[in-house]
Amino acid sequence: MASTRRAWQLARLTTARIDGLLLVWFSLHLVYAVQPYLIYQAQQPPFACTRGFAADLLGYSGGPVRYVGLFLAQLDAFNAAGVLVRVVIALLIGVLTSALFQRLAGGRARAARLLPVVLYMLLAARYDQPLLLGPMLVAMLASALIFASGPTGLGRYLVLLAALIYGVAGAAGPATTYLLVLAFGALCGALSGSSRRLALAVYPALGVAAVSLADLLGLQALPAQWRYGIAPGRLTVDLAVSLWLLYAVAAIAAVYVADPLRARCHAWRAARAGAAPSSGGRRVRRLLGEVALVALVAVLAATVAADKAGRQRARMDFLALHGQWGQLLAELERGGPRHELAPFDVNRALFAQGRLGEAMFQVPQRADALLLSVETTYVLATRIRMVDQWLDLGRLNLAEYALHNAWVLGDDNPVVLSRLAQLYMVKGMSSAARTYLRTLSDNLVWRRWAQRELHRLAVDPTLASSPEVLRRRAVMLRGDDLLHINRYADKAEERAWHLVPEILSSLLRENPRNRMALDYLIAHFLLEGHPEYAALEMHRLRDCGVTELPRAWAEAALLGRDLLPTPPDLASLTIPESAQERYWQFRTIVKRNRGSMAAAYPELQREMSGTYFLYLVRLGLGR
Amino acid sequence: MTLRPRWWRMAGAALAVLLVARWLWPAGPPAAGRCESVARAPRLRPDYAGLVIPPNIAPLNLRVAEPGTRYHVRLSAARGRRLDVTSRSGVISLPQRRWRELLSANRGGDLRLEVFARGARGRWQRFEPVVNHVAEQPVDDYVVYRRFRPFYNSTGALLICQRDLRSFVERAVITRDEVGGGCMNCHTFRDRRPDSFLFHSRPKAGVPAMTLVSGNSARTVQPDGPPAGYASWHPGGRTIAYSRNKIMQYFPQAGPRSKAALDAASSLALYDVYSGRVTVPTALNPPGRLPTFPCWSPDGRWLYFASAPRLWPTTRFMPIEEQARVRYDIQRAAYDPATSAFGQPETVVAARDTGGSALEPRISPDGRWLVFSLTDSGSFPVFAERSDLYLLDLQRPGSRPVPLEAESPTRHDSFHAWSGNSRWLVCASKRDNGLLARLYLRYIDAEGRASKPFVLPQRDPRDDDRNPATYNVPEFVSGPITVSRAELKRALAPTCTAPARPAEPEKRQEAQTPDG
Repeated sequence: MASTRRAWQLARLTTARIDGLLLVWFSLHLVYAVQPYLIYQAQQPPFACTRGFAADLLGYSGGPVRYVGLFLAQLDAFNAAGVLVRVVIALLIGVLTSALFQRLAGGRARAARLLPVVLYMLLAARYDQPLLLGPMLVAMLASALIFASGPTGLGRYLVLLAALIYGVAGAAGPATTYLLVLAFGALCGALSGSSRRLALAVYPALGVAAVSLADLLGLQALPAQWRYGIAPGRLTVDLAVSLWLLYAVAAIAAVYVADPLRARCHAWRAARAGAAPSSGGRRVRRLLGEVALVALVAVLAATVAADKAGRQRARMDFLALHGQWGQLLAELERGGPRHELAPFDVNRALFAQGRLGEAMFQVPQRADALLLSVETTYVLATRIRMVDQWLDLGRLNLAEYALHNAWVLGDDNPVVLSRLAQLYMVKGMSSAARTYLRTLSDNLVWRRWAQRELHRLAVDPTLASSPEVLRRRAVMLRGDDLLHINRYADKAEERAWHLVPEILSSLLRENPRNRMALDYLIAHFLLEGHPEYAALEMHRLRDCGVTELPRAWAEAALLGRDLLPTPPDLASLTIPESAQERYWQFRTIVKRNRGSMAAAYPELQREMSGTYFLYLVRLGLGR
Repeated sequence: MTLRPRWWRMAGAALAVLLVARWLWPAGPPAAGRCESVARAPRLRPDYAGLVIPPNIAPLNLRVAEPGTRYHVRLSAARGRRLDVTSRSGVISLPQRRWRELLSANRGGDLRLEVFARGARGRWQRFEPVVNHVAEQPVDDYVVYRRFRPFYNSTGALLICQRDLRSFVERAVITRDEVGGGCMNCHTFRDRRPDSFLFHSRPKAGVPAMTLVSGNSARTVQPDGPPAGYASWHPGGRTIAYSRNKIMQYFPQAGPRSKAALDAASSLALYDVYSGRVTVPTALNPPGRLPTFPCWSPDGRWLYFASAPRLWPTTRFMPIEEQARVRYDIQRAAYDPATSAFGQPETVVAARDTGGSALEPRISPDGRWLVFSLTDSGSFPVFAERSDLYLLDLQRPGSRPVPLEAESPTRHDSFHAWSGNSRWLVCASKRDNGLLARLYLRYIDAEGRASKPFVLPQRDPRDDDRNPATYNVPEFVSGPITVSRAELKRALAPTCTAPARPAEPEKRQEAQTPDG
């Protein structure tokens, strides 16, 4: 008897060790490979700690799980908390599935308990999957277990189904819910031990009917959508659905094999009393099998299920939107994440580091990689970058325009609200700023920042003592150049690009010390291939306290001198010797190739990399 | 005698329960004599002090914006039971049933609001009482309005909602998704009847249309000519006067105002509800003028509207420079319902007298008062830096318009509407923050004196402080709208899928009322 108990304890210990190993791997994977704060950055789930928000969400089916999911998703912003939440969810899923499978098939189906956990772990590492899938699955499994643990019957099933429909249905989309309820109904039917055929025929049908009703009611209840942009689930087919479909099929298959399994389980239990504990060889095999499973999960997570593109995007967005330009540059220089916004980010980062004039052409450049002006972009992070660009330049009304367009995409995205608050603080519309700050003070992640800003406004309503606000006010455009902008109103696609010099020049007329406007104006001309125009603007650098032209600017000034009928006024700015040497080297190479840029290009590429000369030749050759 | 341990445990548990109950159940203030008196009125959010309120309004929930750890509000009147509410956060939510009892018992009387706040040292302060007057005349039970985020374009959430003013119940009448994702505006009721109204829709991929609701059914029509803008339903029910505006949106690049709009051209037309025929009366549309904002007089014998001289040729795409000089008069033209003929327009409020642009004329149902909004220039009070409501007595010859609020000229008020008894005026106002409009109510007495306006109460009084939505086009209605959203959606379905009209350069953005 004692040896049997010892064998059981050993078996459980082995199971626990495997589960523990899986969880440890999952935790490390989340900490080092996934980083929940990037999931938060990618998704920005809305949430408000208000009664209204809760009431709105709890007003429709699936609301409770949605509320829990959105609350837990806030914790992703705090990396460790996000890891903990996911690990706990995985643990709960494992425990509940284990209990269900124990009930369904005895100890024989122990390995199958890992299937939902593994699926969850793979999904939890994706940047496009909402966290609420976890709470939803936990709720589903808990309901199934409650059902399976008590007396059976249609009435009890209906009560549970009603609770499930209110609490869970629609939280992750009706398609998912249908599948889950079908699987749940079939599973419960099998577990109940009552007529399996009846269960399979009636329960799923009831489930589908009830969930359809719940869906309809959910779509009727729209307050949450008005206020927070949270709509009840829509019919979607995605990776999550496919995986849950797999699980549903597995569950239904379990129903069909339930009787043989149950019979075998009874036989096994009967034999267990007198049988000797399982042999050491079998335990080792099981252990090896489960270790192999963990290894397989790790490989799958690292390869097939890994959302590398999502992670890179989120990382770049995080660094750009938080103004961590040094780190962004460092990562890009290390050959880190690149996407279509990388050239914009690089130039912004170089300017923030004071190196735009120096290092601009040491990184790959594109003619349009300076100012974000694409009005048709539907990516929130891009629009917020555009907002930041206009805010920093001093075009507050353009920033406001971009913000409202970003707001459409992100509903009440806290980053958008925070930028709106900042914008109105700079514009001196403190009452409007307070509205957005108060909204943000209901947000778990932004609460502290919002309350600090509210306090600042209470103490100093004009924010005359805030260096950040004063800096932006100093460059703010005050005279309206409305007519220039609206001249292009009929050419929406082209207008912003045509207007870049006008937009930047008006800022310089307002404040000649607007360094960003000046650097961007010069950089714009250089990227467009007009060093002579850039050279004409360089005298303004004196107003910004510059005495020696930075590398790229100096190269452009030398070229501009050649192209203009009269030498440009450089306001006694000095051109470094090194730039002059490169200029003569460039001329020599071109002369050596009889003025043919195409012929000179290979040599220029070899000898003059990182210079404006090479960029200009490339631009001319269309490479 | 010694107590057994079991009794000790029970006594301890009881004590713990008492302590918890004491903590959960906030104590009220001590007797008046033991409070420190503060010789000023308390700061309240919203500012619900010195008001005239309707006897059927929802509880004026508020937040006491005074420092303290505990708050107590005592509401009393000459008749009815006193109402006491205590709070830790300063948020005072008044019980609806007892509030209604108190108001109905004190029609025509005063409500006295006493506020107590307990400071950090545990000392209670008692502020000067606040007195609000309960009017005899109730406000209409429902108000219908647009609610949306202040976007520049028509892709965000936009709804036409109705609110029961006796409670906090708000319901969507129609949402942007249900009109094909475009824009919808200018819901207009026939004599404040909830079963008879119209609104315009411009689906993204469909055609602009006017939806007419009668009872529980709706139908969508497309009047000939340019799409409809602002509308007014003739009391007789057969004719709808509407404006056809060529509205252009533009974006100032500096200053507090970042969006604006102008009417490059406009005209007034009549739509016959029975025959579907559109007429464009020449009397209302003299050459070189910009008539807009039609409004029938309650007897249906006059059509009031705003009109300004057009200062640019019709070929001009976007006459921005001239906008600072465009000033509208309020005019009216006599109407004969039998022949549908109009007399020559006469000026009621002249721009040269007001020095500004008079817009949005609305006549009180008793026919006595004309209220309009006055801005510096242009035709969009909702975007104007200054927009105030003015009242004119139509029954006193020679009377001049007077501002509803004299003290401060800039209130950002627009889109006003009269209640059925001509005593209440609702408007959208950006007075609180200059950006997001809220709905304000005010009482107009028999002499035309306006009381202090107050924002519509919310269940949570902090909502307005943090709600990033804006509201406009409030219209009173006497009851809940009966037509269902499903019926409206059904009626709108054909317009949402029809192919768009071929764009004509000069008509490309006609009648697009930008969100305010």
